[in-house]
Amino acid sequence: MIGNDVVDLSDPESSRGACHPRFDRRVFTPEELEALSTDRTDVQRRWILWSAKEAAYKAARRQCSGVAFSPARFVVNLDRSLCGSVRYGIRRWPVRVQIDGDCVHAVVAEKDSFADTLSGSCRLTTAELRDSSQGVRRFVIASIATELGVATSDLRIEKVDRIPQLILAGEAAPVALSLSHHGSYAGFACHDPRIEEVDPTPQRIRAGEAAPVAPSLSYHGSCADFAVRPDDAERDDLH
Amino acid sequence: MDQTEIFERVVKILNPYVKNQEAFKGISLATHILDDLKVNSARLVDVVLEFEDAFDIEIDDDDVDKVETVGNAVELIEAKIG
Repeated sequence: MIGNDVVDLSDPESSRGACHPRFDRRVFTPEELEALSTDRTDVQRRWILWSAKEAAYKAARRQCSGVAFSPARFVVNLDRSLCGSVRYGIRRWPVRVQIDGDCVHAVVAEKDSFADTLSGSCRLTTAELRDSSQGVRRFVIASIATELGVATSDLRIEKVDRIPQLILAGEAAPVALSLSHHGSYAGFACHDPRIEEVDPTPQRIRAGEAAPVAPSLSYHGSCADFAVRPDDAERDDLH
Repeated sequence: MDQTEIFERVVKILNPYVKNQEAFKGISLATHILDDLKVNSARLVDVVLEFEDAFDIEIDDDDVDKVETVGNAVELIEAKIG
């Protein structure tokens, strides 16, 4: 699954002091707070961590609608190149954060290589900001069309149950798409439609093959458990 | 404190964080905080913290997750203050 988040560092909302005094304690882990406290003037660092958490939350929510909006439960680990991971219970997603001027853009993907992920960010023009929703869509469609070598008229973005869906040549593309907008910036991440998407459903392997069972994972905070439900075809074999 | 008073205080708290002023003009219990008012997720954290301060309550993240509309917020606060 895929998620992305963009933060405009030049937006007044991003300035130091714009957040509630308890904001940091509410959304960051003790380790993240420690990292922030070493440089209290580093506004950028705060939003790098936030964007990584938010991108991972979007990815998690697609996989499990029961995932709560609980930023402190999403634990961010980044190296100096701003690549790393976000952990939520037993789940872990690769994350990559890019800084371009005032734009912080975090992308969470299934694979560390991000090879199957299309993503990008841009500064919207003043005209585009008048209808930012359309501005974001135009940017994303132009970016994906260029990457795929198709006409922009072949692509549309529609929302289904509040989740953006890429429509390619009139048909829903079976790929995850994540959109983001903050201040003057837009961002997106999309599974490359040319690459077969990895089934995120957890599989239990038995004797080297995918077993005909439906494992279910659940997680909350640092606690996790799992259950394996035999499907109807196999249930008799277990008696 | 009755529901109307809670609603009015919630609206006042939301006001500075609203990006869609047109939607804010017609705000009601059914108004969606993120989708209609365009309050972003980072600002939603601030809103929740302001709810805590204004009503002297504690709202955990699992409670926050149930708040999609203004009405959800009002109901949650009403339940917390008893």
